[in-house]
Amino acid sequence: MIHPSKLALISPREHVTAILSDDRLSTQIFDCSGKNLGSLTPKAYVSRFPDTSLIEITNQNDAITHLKAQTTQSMCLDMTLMLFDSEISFETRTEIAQELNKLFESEQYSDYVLDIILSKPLSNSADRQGAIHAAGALNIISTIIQTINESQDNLRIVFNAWLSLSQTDRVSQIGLIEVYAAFSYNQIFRRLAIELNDKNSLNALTIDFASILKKQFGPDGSFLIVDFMKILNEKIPNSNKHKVQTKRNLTNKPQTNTSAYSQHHEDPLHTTPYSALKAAVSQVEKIGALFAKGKDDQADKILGQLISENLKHPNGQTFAVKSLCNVANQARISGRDDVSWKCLLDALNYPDGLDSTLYFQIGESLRRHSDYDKALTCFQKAQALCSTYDKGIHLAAIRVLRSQGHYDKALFEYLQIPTLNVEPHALKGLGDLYRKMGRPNNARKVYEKCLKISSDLHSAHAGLAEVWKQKGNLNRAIQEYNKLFERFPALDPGAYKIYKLSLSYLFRVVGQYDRAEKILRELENTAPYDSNIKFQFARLYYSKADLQKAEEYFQKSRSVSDREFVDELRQSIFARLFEVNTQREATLTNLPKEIMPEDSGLACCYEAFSQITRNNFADASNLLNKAIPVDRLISDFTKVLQFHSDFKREKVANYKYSQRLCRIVKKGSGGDYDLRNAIKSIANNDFEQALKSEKLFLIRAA
Amino acid sequence: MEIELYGIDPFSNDLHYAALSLDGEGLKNYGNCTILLRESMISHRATCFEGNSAQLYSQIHNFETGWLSAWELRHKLCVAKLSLKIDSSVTPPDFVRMLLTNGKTSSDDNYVEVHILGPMTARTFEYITWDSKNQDQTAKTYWKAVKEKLQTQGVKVSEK
Repeated sequence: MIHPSKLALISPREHVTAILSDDRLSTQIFDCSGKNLGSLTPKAYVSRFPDTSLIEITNQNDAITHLKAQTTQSMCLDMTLMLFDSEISFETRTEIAQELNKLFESEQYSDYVLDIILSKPLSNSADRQGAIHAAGALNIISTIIQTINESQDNLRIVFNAWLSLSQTDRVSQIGLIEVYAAFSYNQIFRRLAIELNDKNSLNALTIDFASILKKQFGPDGSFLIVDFMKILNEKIPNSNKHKVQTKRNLTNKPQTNTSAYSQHHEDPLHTTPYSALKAAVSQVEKIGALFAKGKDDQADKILGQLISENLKHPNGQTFAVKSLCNVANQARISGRDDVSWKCLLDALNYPDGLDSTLYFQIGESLRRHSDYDKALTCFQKAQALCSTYDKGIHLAAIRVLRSQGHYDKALFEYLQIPTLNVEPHALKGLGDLYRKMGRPNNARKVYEKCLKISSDLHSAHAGLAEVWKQKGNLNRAIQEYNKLFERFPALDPGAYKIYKLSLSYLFRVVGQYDRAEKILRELENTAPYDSNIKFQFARLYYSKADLQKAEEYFQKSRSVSDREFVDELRQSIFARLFEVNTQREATLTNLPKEIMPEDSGLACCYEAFSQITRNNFADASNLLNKAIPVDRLISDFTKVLQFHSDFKREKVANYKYSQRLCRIVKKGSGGDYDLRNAIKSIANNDFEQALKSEKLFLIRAA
Repeated sequence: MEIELYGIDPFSNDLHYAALSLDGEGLKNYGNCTILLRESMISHRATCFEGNSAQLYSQIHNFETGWLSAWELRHKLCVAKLSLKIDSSVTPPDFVRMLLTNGKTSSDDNYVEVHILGPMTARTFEYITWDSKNQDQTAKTYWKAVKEKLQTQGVKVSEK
């Protein structure tokens, strides 16, 4: 019979442990000496001692042993650092060294101390000679001090590389603290500090580290290591032959043996795992760039070569699927949905390589094409393929709810995330949701909170700009976007395009057409096959009353994206994934089936405007009464149309009775003067001019 | 709990708990070391609470009924909390134990809690007392080094 294990809460900082009762409703608290300090509920205990970890134990002594070990670990770290402190007398440091020498007989303590101390260089004021003297001839502590001293040159290079890596978008997306903790915890810093001899030694470590971090962060983990090693490679001087005598006995991870791998790859490009990864990344970028420029034949050829290269490896199918997913992602960013879908479909030809990332990516693509139910099915499958709970997949499923317009459900799901207050990406998503729900003030607070946790999250800065837009302060929104581009000069292409399109929209709405056009031209040069950019051009020319050009760009926007082809691919992928028979749906059935809540205000205005042009003022008024605009500008427009229909129905004689209308007349609405002109024209009984101004506003804002 | 108390204040993640004391004696259930804080370094960022906030929160899950005061008005909070216990038999020396009583366990302690927002350094400390009773040799060596370090920062240190 298996003895049921107990659970204990360990709080080393407070020197207490709490053993949970079998019904988990209460705890008995003990100190290091085993003295019973009383009882608390688990919730009360965790409130009082937040730095607590949960462990499985077999009895009370087990919990106290764990507590003592963790408390001692923390003390060992302090004491080791004290050896390097010149403000502490030599006599005391010698006593500390003697104590540490005894404690470090247990590798558990020395491992912990080395993991932490070898994660960044000692400060310049550290008294390294003093530490050596204090350690004297005590064998264990003197070996550790020697290792720490000899690793400092390597550590400076590694830490320098880390500082550069920490500025990258990939790190800010995952979270700076999470990545740093992962590097420390997985002994990446420590192993580099000890094992790094020259540039060649990087290759041996790359694949090992990549596989460790992949388990933690998915594919992003591997890319993180590739980025890090690339930076590290640049920081190591060519002539650098480090003085460090590798102390392999102090790194308790198995060493990487790359010889087996290298035998499979005689191509000079792929002689080592590091260069193989590096070459694959640069090839994917190259292929993505070629597809973006419409050079499909060339791109297909290189992609074919990459896949056949991948397939030579023992885990070739896994690599092939990864490459196709990455190319699909690049193609999507450059607006080539057709290529993106085709790559995902091709990936299904390698059944041994199918993984959660592929299902996740297909789910995301389905969501973007409004196939919400199918997207959810893919996310469920992706989660099933993950060994642990994946926050990214949960957030993607919430985005589906949001895309379906189920905002209350999505809000409920967000608030269920236990770590919401410390997850910048989840907070950013919540901010976006509040905006869509027409609660810009809540959104602003959440974005600000998110930026306090992670000030490098550019999407939260963009969210703040959107809040200003929603509140009708378009000039402030433009300022925020400009600040964002100054602060993040090297945004990833996807984010860059989205923010630039938003800025272009803002310029269009405030009537700065030249600036709007300049942005679209720049985007068109980098992604000439992006239908969205063409569509924005069409809207811009329509606003400028250049109907011929508007029509031309509208047609282009339809032709560059072969929607039927994309639909067909989408259906066939889903059918193959879940072995179901799907009939091709008519092209238009996948368009959003209903108007999203945040768009309903504008839709009501559009319909009410049509009714006003037909002199159906009562109908217009009824429609406007039902409109719930989430955007200040649209809300102002609703009021203007309401005034128009009421004035015609002789229900109101003067706009000065309405504070809102007075404000619009006084300030314009966020720099938009069409609404002001419309009100004044209605007041002067010039309804023809009023309709013109209202139409102009609709064209720009729609 | 910190969020309940101070919302999204930038320092709510850096909240330190202390207790009011008339004679420099601390709460023994929390460890063998008592730190007397320098008033000039904390008075502008300290708030007083009528008792053990963690205990109150675990019972009623909010702070709507708890009494709070700014540092400068702590005397009013103490009067509000303790006035019913004061009669003609109470003399000024009794105030010391009335304000802070060490219980059998930390949940039996009685004190006025102080919340200090923001970081602490050696400059925030005025006086430190360490009780060496029942400590092993490693802890004693550790304390010896800490003591030297604190003295270089101008902190007074004593050992019982």
